[in-house]
Amino acid sequence: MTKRFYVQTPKNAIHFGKNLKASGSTIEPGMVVTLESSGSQVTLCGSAEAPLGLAFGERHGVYNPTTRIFADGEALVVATNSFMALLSAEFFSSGSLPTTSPTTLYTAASGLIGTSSSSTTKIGQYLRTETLNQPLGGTGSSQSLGLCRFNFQP
Amino acid sequence: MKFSDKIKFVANKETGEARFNLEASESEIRALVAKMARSTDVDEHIRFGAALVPPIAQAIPYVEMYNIFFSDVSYADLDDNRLPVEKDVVSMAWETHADAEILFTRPGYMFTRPDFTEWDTGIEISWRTIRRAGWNVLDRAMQRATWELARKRDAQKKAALDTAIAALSGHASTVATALTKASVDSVLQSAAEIGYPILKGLTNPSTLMAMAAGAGWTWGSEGFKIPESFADKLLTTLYVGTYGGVAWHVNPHHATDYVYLGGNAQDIGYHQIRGSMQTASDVDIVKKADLHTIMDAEHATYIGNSYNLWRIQIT
Repeated sequence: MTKRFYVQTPKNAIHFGKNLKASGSTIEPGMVVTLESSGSQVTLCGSAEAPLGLAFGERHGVYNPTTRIFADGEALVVATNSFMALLSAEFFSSGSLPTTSPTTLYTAASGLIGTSSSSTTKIGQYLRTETLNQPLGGTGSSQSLGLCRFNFQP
Repeated sequence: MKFSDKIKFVANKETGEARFNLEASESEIRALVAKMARSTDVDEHIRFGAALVPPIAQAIPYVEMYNIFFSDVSYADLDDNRLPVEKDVVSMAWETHADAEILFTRPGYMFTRPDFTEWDTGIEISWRTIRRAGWNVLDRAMQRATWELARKRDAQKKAALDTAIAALSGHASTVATALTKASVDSVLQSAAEIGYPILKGLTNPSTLMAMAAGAGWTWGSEGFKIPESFADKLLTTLYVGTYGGVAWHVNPHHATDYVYLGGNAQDIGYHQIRGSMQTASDVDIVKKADLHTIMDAEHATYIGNSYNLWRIQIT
């Protein structure tokens, strides 16, 4: 399956990307990131860290990028504040979409989204599963995406 | 006019064939023969005679075959061979309340760059061999070398096809003992179902001749007669080259136990070619020999739509 991440309500989300750089080569759009103490670098958020938002945007500064993963030191945008988004199962720590609607979403290890309250940092709510038609197999095939509402507050 | 000026090295990167051709008009050839009759130049006599009676070969030329599934794209040395990849597709629509706000999906972009592979080959031929062989050894050697380069290019394309087909469920099928009409019909049906009909097939000619040898390829029992034109083809060539709307390509170098099927090359993938085939020659006076090398262009393959590829294995 292809990783998919769409911010559905772009006018509600703050696309914060001023003087902001990726730290390390692990961040790709859709992953939960946290702000480093420098104030200008972000890394993948751990389960006990304060989330800034979801990494977002294209790699416009790279000539013909062949991967979604931002390089170390590359300019980055973070979607934060309150917004709705669609995410594929790869962005969840369990590797699958929650089966119960609604489900509270928390931070998890390695920038993933968890459903376990062992992390006390709530980041949003899983609303339900939606179906996207992937352009595969001649006539297309369906892929399940999770419709979530996020609320990244300090 | 010098005889040697009329001998040209010709390389065809499409077919992989390279050879020394005698490029002359009929009047020039007559003039050459007349000149040969008068000439006392031993070298000229040797080269002229050598071009006339080569040994009969025991193997047919190698002609590339898997290129029918790829669309050729050429690049200069400094060109970027990037290919665009569709990243985030916008395939969402919603049932909505009239007052609900719109939900948006944003498409993105990404690229891939296939890695190039290159091959070369070299021939060393002693001066004495050229004089004593009595036939054009170099011409034959050049042909064999270029056929080998074509074989390498084909192996690269075949590997790409096999990887792509194996990655999809149901696109690699098997049939026992011999190719059957049912096994071919099944693939044609599956391909038609998803909107990418089979347009071309590739196999060994003997495998395709299973049409005449039975294995389900006998018409008439279903209550209709085989058309006369098809019967004529079956009896003269042992196969029908347009069965199922498929352009059947056959090559004796193809394995007898595999059949590859696919649609338009433009809907499958690219064969990227960077640069062009180069040749160079040198003289080694220490070893009293000529050195010739053929350096192929760089080649890369990319398959963007595996759904348009199918394979039948005869087990």
